[in-house]
Amino acid sequence: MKKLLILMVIALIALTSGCGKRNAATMIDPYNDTNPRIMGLGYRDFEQAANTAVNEMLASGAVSKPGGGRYVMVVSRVLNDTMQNIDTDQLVKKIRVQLLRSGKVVTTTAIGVDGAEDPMVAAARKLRKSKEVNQKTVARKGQIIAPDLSLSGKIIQRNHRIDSDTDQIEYFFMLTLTDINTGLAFWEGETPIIKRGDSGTVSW
Amino acid sequence: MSGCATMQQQDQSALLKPYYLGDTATASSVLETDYDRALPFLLDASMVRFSQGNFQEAYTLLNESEAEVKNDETESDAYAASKVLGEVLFNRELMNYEPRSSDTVLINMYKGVSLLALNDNDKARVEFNRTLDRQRRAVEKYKEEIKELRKEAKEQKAKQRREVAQRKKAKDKTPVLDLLRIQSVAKKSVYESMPEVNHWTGYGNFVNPYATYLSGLYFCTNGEMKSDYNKCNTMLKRVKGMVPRNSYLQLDTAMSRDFARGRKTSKYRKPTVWVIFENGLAPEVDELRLDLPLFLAGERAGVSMVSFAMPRLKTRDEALRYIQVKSGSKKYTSKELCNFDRVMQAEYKAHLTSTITKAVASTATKTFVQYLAQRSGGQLVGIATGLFTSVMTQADTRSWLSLPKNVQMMRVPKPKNNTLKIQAPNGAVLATVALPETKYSIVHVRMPQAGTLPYVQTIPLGK
Repeated sequence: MKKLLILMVIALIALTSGCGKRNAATMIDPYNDTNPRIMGLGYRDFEQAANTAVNEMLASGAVSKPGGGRYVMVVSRVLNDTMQNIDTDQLVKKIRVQLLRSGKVVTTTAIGVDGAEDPMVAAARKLRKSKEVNQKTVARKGQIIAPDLSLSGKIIQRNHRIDSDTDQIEYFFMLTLTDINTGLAFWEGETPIIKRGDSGTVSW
Repeated sequence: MSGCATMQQQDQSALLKPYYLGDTATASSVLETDYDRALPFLLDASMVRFSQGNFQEAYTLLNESEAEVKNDETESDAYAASKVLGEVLFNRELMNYEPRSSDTVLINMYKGVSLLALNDNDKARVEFNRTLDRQRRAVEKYKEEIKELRKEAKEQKAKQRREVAQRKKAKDKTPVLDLLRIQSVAKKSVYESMPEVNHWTGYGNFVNPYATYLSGLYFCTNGEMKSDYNKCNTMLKRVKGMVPRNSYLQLDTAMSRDFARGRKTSKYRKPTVWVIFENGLAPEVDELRLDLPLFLAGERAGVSMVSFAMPRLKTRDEALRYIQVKSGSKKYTSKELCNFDRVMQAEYKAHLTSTITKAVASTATKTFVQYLAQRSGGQLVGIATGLFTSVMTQADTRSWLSLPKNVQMMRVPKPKNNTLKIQAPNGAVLATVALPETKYSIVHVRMPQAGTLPYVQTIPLGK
């Protein structure tokens, strides 16, 4: 009986502690992560590319509106021409956040290449005929601001064999900021992210 | 190790026999049961689903296949070394299926086409980029293999010399296996048994023109920027160089040149349908068995016989010589884009020395152990080890079996009634196809065997 009790206690401990361990995760500080990077594109690569792009944009003066105020930017197409299944928003969002924080650029979500990023802007305007809604609070006509600048670009990837064990994977983040009024590229930037690693398998 | 190559082949046969005959219901019922999710079965399963037009399932199965390929590629060095040892001591057939480089290229290509069919053009772009990288890796792999073979031969030579010298010094009369001599004789015997190998020529640099062509076509019909059209032009020119007699390819190359130059009024911008005909069945693998003398270092004649087995390609038939399509009042005849016999033969030939070297090392080592056992333990021990050797000497004949013997294509103006009639050479109507609304599209015709109805699917190209 005593043995059975001990066994049951051990089983209970094993069950409870085992389950806990299986789901345990180590939290990473994304700003101080020194672990080796992956051959594909990880969060630190997007961070690096976005920081470089924003710093260059701000330093070039391309987003400083003459006479002050903020430019309105629209996000155009940012093409993923790599071998990685990534969402280019991982890059674009970071750029938008930093530009907004700079106080120099605000992004419109009412306009986009494949339709509005936030469809609620248009949906809320359909309330204009609703008798249930206080019409004074409904968005008025002619209030949406047209963008001044358009952000477009692409991410490309080139792979090379260095030696029998090593591949070099090159990613280029190419971005352009176009003045919509004139069609001129106010700013252009290219951030290379180059990695060397095991050639034993593919980079994705 | 998975010791079930024979069972895997039985499962493959149960799936593919009805598939070849166009019996969709029976093939589907095999895939609805619980099966061993291993290569090469997964590859054939994906092709069955692809031909049936179940592109979501095909994509899932191809993804699973690619994960298996990656497992194989990322195994640790220690595990890889143990596998080589296992292959030498036991048999390649007892190990997991090792996908060919050409398999890996096609996995990404078919994933790309499946995604196009599912209207996910952005993800399809990623897969076509991967397809091209897989072709680059195939060339690198071959170069590495040649280097490795030379290094191993050098090491084996030094090892044999060292062993002979050491035993001489220690007055040890245990014989030393002359593996290099056996391998050299084996190579000569293999080429004598298969003289056709000397005439096999691929498309150069292990390129599969079908994969390059579809990738190129993607970048022309889904192009978003100049670099896409340049990429398309480079690829289609490369394919034209490999298949110079195909007049449709000449038109495609002219199209890519116009697109790359940004000619908005090019005649090639008119709505077009590309009919792709996957015809017949690619080579299967059977076994070549040869008997060779067991040479010992310092002995002129062989002391025993080594029976060795290695895989051999066996070509299969095409379903039809060509197909024809009627668009409006004009008739078009399909022309060859890629001969899979050539692609697989070129890869087989490139790896032949390595295959012989491994197969001979495996069987000669086992026979040598048998010879030593017989010398020290008598006839009975010799018979026992001989039985083991005989059972273990088998070639790995697994392969991705559902691939076509050749791929033909034609470039057809999209008819006003949005309908294409596909006909056999004798005029019999094989299918009447309603085309997608998109400006460009692919009609994929798969006919594994003569006397059956083809699987026909339509795939939109671009928006």
